[in-house]
Amino acid sequence: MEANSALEAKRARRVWIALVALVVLVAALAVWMSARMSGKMSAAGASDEQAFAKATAGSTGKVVLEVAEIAPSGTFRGKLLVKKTEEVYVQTGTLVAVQFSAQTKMVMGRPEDIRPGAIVHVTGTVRKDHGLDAGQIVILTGYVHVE
Amino acid sequence: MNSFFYASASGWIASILIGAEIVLPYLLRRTRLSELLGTVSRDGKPYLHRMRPHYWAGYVLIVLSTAHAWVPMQTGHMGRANMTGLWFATAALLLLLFQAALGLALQDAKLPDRARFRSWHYWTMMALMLCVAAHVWLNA
Repeated sequence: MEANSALEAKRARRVWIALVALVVLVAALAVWMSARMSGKMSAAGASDEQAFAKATAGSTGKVVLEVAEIAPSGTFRGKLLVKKTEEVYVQTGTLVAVQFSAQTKMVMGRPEDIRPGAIVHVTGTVRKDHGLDAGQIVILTGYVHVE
Repeated sequence: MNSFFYASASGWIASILIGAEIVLPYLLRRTRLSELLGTVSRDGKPYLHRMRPHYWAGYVLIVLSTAHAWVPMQTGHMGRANMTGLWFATAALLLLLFQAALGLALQDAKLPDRARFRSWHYWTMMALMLCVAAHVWLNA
């Protein structure tokens, strides 16, 4: 009788440990995913005016833009922003034209979030006219400020 | 970006904890599930005493949910969030506080009209779950 209850207690302990471990594991996975997304946004924050000016056609360009105007057929123009701190960007006079399509990967938002005043990080292929064919657009509106 | 991480991580952990919090009483009480898993204790401790993990998970949940709401509000990152989702989140936070009050009352074994309080506790949990699901759907 006593041995039976000891066995039951042991089994119960094992089940509880497994359940707690499961909750901790899922929570750790959630933290990891949040960190990954946050890291993606942080990496997206990098923007360099000189580097972009020197970029050759066909190379990969990464810029942060404040959307100035939207044109039909998936094109917009934005003012190039330069990173000052993690959350503060400074406007430059450079205008960059961006072409995006249904294949463009949208992070932290939807195509509807690309509107005048929106802040976006664009990764894409530099064209001959120094525009960008966007491969990925990260919506940073609300997370960074422009000075 | 750090504020995004804290808001996101605390939100997901709180969601997971809500799930655990809901399941806990079914594992701590004598139910079909607890009998099947063998999680119900036979050490003779009173039922309300065995429910302690449920109480503590609830307190942690309140702290986490408040932190989850506080971080984006303090940094002003709410501008682009879906407003309907934020209203669901506000309702969920209020329901959580109401739920905690009901839970505290239920810790008293001699509470008159206990069945009615338990019924409210159950239905508040259902409403809370729906609000959280809507918030996750609209804002995550």
